[in-house]
Amino acid sequence: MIDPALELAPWLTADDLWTMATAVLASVACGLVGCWLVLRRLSLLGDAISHAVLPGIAGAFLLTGTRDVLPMLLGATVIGIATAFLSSALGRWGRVDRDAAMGVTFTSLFALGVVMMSLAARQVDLDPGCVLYGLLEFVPFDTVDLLGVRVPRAAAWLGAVLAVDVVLMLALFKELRATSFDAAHAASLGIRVGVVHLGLMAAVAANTVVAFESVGSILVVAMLVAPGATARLWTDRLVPMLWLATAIASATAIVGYLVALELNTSAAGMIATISMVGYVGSVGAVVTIGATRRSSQSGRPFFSEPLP
Amino acid sequence: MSRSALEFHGVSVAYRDELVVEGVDASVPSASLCAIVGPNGAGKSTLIKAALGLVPLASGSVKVLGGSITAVRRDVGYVPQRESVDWEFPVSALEVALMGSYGRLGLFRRPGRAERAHAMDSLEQVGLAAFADRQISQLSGGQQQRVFLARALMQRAQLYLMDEPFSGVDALTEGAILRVLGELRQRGCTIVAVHHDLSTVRERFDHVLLLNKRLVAAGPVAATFTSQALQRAYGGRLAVMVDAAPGNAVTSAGH
Repeated sequence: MIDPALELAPWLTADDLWTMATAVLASVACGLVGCWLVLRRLSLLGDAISHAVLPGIAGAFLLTGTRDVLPMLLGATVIGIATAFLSSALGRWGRVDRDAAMGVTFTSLFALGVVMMSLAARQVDLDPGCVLYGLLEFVPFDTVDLLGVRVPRAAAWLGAVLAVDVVLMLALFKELRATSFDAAHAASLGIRVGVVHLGLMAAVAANTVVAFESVGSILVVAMLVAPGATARLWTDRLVPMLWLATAIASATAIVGYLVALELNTSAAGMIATISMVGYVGSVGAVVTIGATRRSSQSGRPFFSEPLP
Repeated sequence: MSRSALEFHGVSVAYRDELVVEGVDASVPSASLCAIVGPNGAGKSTLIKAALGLVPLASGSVKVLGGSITAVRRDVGYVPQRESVDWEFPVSALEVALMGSYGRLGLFRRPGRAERAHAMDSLEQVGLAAFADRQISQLSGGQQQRVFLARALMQRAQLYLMDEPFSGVDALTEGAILRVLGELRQRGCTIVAVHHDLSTVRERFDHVLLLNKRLVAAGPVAATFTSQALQRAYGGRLAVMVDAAPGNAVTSAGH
């Protein structure tokens, strides 16, 4: 898979391609889960959870003393679910509105995480800066053996998480759709709305943590929101939106990485920047095309073909 | 069919620590068309949600179709207020109607050809067959209300709980909804609807629950929907009252 690609683009090394593949996996995983956050108007909750998982990661470091992904994943997922729970409980009982409850919960957990991180940094080799910005460029140096192929550890983990995301999304597609559109009606059908919500939050937390180490929290936050929001501009159908978000996430990661390589700058930062450019450009294009169409004839949206 | 389709026994519901529904005892007979009427903030929507098990009861109990709501969910259709959802959501009218089949399908099963045909029938019943592939934001308010009705019809339920089905709809939609309600009644279904327009209670419903946090009155419309009862439910907030002799009704209510 790598060699033919190298022939096509001889100026890239195998390491570049693995790094790019890792960035694509991270972007697609976050982008797909993020579509549901965008649809549920919870984009900021994704942002918040991705910061709030910090004490989970730090706690796992402090307890195990290693940088293994599995304890971090467990710690962060638990914290992710706990924070979703805590913010809705605060909203209900604390006599504040949802935004305020979210703001209080997540900033304080993030702060706690920073404190715990600096404590943990004395015990293990851990740089809080890495968590924020990620070290995409170092991805190829940490590899695992997967069926005889040396694969970057981050790519293996991200691939696994993406696979779990896709399986869960396929299995629970109608539950996700029904609870996102009309939670009260879904509940009246006997669908466990709360379980679906917490499950989604757990998925956000798990994706975030696994993507954190390689691509950093800035890219995670960008990729949770931007592909879904951009895809939503171009289509009025759910399934095309998910495909389009996948394509946008992949393209953004590839273009962002190549540009970063050319300019010799932070790859994660550049990918996040490109995703923003894509979104703003799409807004402009959709507004312009919409205005042109309205002045000509029907106001039908783009790509609104019926589902198969 | 003298059994009750819906029974409230001392039902109270609280949001935070404020009671919004207080000690309601009432029952709705089977195969009736029942209106829930009362001023804003009277707990009408909450009472419906309590019957559906969507809000926890502070005290009391609800019997739905003779049993617990969890046992009869499939036989209860719910039409929420139109304003309660995001109509920009990327689904078509047909896909919304199909959601009515999700309860019966259960986990991991997808709607197939049979469900799609049935969903088309339901859209046909509310006069929206031609709009099946429309994205829901491109429907008018009345059409959106009818999509909700089609989704409930998909369930082939025995009891339908509706939250202001006539609110803000055009004449065409009003006619379509009335026709569907009539057909449901003929099949022996029970319909309970929160209703705002006092002037149409008499012609459209045969049973009424007057609510203002507590139950003010309940029973057949002719005997229950009186000016005295309304005066008690609305607490003098009625602007114009016409004497509630049969045929005459209240024409306007202050909010």
